[in-house]
Amino acid sequence: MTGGNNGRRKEILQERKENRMPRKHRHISGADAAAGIGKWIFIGIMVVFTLYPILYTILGAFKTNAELTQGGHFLPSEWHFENFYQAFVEADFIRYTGNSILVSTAVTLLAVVTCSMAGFILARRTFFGKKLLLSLYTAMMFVSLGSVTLYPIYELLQGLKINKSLVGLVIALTGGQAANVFLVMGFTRSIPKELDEAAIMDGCSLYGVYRRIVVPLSKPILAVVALFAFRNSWNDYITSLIMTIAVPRLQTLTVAVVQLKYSVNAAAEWHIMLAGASIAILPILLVYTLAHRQFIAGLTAGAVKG
Amino acid sequence: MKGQKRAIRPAQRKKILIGNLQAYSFLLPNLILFTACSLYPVIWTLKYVFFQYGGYGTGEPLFVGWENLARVFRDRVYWESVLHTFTYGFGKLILILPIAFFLALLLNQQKKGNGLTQSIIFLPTIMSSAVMGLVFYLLFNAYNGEINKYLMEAHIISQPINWLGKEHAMKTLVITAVWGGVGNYMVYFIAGIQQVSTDVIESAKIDGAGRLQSIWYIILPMLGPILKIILMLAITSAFNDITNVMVLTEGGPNNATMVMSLYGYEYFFPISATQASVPQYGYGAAVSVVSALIAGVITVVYLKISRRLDDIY
Amino acid sequence: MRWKRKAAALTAGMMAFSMLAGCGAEEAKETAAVSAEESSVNTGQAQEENGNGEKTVINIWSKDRHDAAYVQEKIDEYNASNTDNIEVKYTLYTDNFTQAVDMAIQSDEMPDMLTYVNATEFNKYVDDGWWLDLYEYMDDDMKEYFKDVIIPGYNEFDGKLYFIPTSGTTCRLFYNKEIFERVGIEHPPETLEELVEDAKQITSQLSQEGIYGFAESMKSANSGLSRSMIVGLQRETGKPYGYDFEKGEYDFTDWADTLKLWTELLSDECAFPGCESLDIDPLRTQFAAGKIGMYMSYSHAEPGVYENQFPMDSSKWDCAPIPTVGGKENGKQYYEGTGGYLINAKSPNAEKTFQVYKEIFANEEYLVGYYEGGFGVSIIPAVQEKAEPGEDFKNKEWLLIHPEMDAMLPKAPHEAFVSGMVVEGEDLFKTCESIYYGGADVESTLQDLTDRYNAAYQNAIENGTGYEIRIPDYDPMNPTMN
Repeated sequence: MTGGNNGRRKEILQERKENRMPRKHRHISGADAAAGIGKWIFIGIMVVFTLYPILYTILGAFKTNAELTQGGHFLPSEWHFENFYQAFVEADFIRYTGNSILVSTAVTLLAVVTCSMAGFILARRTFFGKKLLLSLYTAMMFVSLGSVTLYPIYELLQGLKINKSLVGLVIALTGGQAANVFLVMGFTRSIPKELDEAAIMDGCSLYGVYRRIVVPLSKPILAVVALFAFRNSWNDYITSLIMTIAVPRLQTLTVAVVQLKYSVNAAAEWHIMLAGASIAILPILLVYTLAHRQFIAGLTAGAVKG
Repeated sequence: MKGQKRAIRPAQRKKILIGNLQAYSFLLPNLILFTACSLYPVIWTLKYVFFQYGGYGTGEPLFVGWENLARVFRDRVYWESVLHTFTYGFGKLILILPIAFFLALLLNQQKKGNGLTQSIIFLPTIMSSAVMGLVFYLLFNAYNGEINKYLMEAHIISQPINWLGKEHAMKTLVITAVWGGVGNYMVYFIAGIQQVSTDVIESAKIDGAGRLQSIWYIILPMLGPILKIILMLAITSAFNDITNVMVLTEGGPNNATMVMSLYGYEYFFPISATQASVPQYGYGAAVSVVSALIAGVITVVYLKISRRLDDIY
Repeated sequence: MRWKRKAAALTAGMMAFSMLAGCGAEEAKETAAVSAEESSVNTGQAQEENGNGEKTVINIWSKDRHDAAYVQEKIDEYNASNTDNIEVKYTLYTDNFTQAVDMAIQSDEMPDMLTYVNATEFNKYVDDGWWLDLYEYMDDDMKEYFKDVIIPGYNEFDGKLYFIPTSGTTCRLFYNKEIFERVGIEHPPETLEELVEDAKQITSQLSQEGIYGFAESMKSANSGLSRSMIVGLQRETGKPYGYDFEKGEYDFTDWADTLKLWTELLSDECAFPGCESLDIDPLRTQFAAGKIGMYMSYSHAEPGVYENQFPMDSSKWDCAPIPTVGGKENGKQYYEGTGGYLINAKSPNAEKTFQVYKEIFANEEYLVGYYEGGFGVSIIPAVQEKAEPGEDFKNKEWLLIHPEMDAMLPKAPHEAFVSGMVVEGEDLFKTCESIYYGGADVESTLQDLTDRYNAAYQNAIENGTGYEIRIPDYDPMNPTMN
């Protein structure tokens, strides 16, 4: 998707227009108006479709159980804040929230640091074994054995004796990051090499170049890596479930919420389940409200590069 | 490096060595994670394809040769799960792509409100599919779910629909997948459309191209490159979606929503643990390897078709 | 010279790391925080032990929710009153209990004590010495007190006692008396055919009000069938889990009639909508809400559930034996001891754990309260004598264990060495599901199931991962353990 490409495409487009476009075709305004209304109906339906489950969750967290299970109105008849108290205190959600925050932050930082270092060096240097590594990284992006790989990872962490702590979970959740390494690599390549060379002339070491030049300039892409690493680790269920199943005190929010379904009274306590679900989704909602532009822009960057 | 081989002098060799060490010092943190979490599990899995093993406390792994793989090919339920994966992926694709495309078309201009609407539609992609799977279970359950309640109040249906029953479970799953994914694809499409520069569209309008015509003759052809990427992402993600299925239906009823990733997973981590069901790591490994091959072949075939093999990264 | 260079390069590498650490100061802090959190969590136990006057934490894992409130209350009492500085921590697992235990054993996180779940889980670890021989610490009084529930081949092996069941459970048909009255059903069904008719009648008359004839928690075929159809089949065929102990082989072919009736029972004509995706607890809430006519489940749990978890007036429900096809009785149905706990023999606190076990769980007051509270029918004679069981047990005779119907059954091969016997294709539960929900042909499917189980069994014997199980002169009406 480079400029040159665009230019070529314009030409093609021009040709196409000349060849196929019927000219002097006029629409009557009635059809336009209908299309306009149709447009808003379509968007309206999609917005309701999107928002309904989320609002159901958050509003449901304030309802009584009877309201939820026997049918009530969309809004709670009374706002029961104590549902959250129950979830936090009785269902031990304070601990799980803490775990989630710790794990997601650590994964985010680890992902950013490792990806940016690896991406930088892969973009800038040739070294022994680079081709092999690159092909391995590429291969791993295509081999998707799925969640079964969690078992060997778990065994490995156990062998290293870090399976009983959040460190193990952080490692398992960060993982190889192959796609992100390529993302950062691609971005680093777009930073002019002359900047590096100038810095080296000024007596900067490779580390200096990395820290002073490349890291500051690749902030946009690192932000993307960070946002998505945070989102993925915050929302992860399966990895966190497997890594914490034997050590319940390490559970993260998502795992704890799904477990609520099976807890002592969950079947009769939908309000607590929804309060738990709200606790799990509200922080990421907050992050999203602050950074939704970055999320959307980041996704595009990832897609176009990836 | 290759060209210099002949002329390497000791000083240069040292320089290269230091260069290599420096490079690896940057690479190492990621390399460790990559080896532990990507490479090692794959090797482990490939090894256990040839063993029968039930985990700790069940004796040593037993070498069984190709038996596990042969069993995969005899396993009717597995091939059904492959079929379900395709149904799921295809169902998701044909719903999500047009919806996302039209949303992108309607929301791509920098107008007031469009940004907000985009952000709302994108919202589900940042939610945990596990947590939302739980919520969807509450919403869709046949006996007192809200979906049925609203449909009955609106007199669209007279009897509750059994959304998670064998006839509808896959549809329900696809609906929740559309919910979770449409924002993603909308953003991809917007990115694509915005690369079609506005003056092209404007000039088309001046030329008198109608709305549909400008979509069909201008925007769609120009979306070609990004459409390929979008399809690629849609295909690979269809193979990997598992959390949603796990929380909402656990592959049931009667395997109606069993997808191949979950099928392999269940041999590693038996879901229904109320009674005796033990892991079969060897067979699970074989199932996963075959699934990965299927996914790999399809990806490669797709890439060949779209002739972008040289642009992988 | 060369070494110096290398050292220089290494130093450079190290510097890079320290610099990066400087760069990512936050990250370093974070990692530190993680490891601090981890170590504080990890060593929490140890610190409490050493720091605050040698407090010992005993971890107990349970899978039972119906009695959780009662057990927790007893544990709280104990924690508040014991003078040995012991703190008992009680963790409740439900759906993934066995998975959790498996992974905990692997990762050395095994709790000090856990509920006895089933023979499979027990067998897996008994040879590696994970379970404590209770005789080691039991005094003669205690041995005498529990002598009636010590059964060789069940909980005692080679003179070692591993767990003590204190109550018993089997499966029954639970029904809503009000619904029966409304549609004019006079007595609970005695045959499976009758059950189907009754269910149809209820559904056809009351489904407009959202009331249906029959339900079962079929989200997991295993969990649903284990508490229902499989139990009826034990009585009907005399072959637990399709295993003929006398001949030493599997035979599922005589399940055909039952499966045909169950297919009808689970169709829209009879069943509560959404059974396919129902867990047992949501089912119970609907039963308590009067939406379900009949369902089958374990006899020990339901009274406590409707007393505490999902309140339902005791006079509204009752239970009866699980009906069989044509009322056939060719064998007994299983009853299983509950309330047994296994102690981790490898725990450094094994002896203290035993003390906790003895003082909380093997305590007469606890057992009497347990029976009276409706959490399980006591099988300890001394407790039965002292206890004043709740109304439920006085009025609902089928909640109790009936020796003429219920007995302990020996373990079929796939239970005895579950991971050694690898059955190709779907297990017996999922195979049944493929019949009643998938419309598979009954006869050929059951024949195939029989073949697959026998093949797997023979394979296990050949591989040495299993052994032959045969009980010559096995009498299904009078089963022996081996």
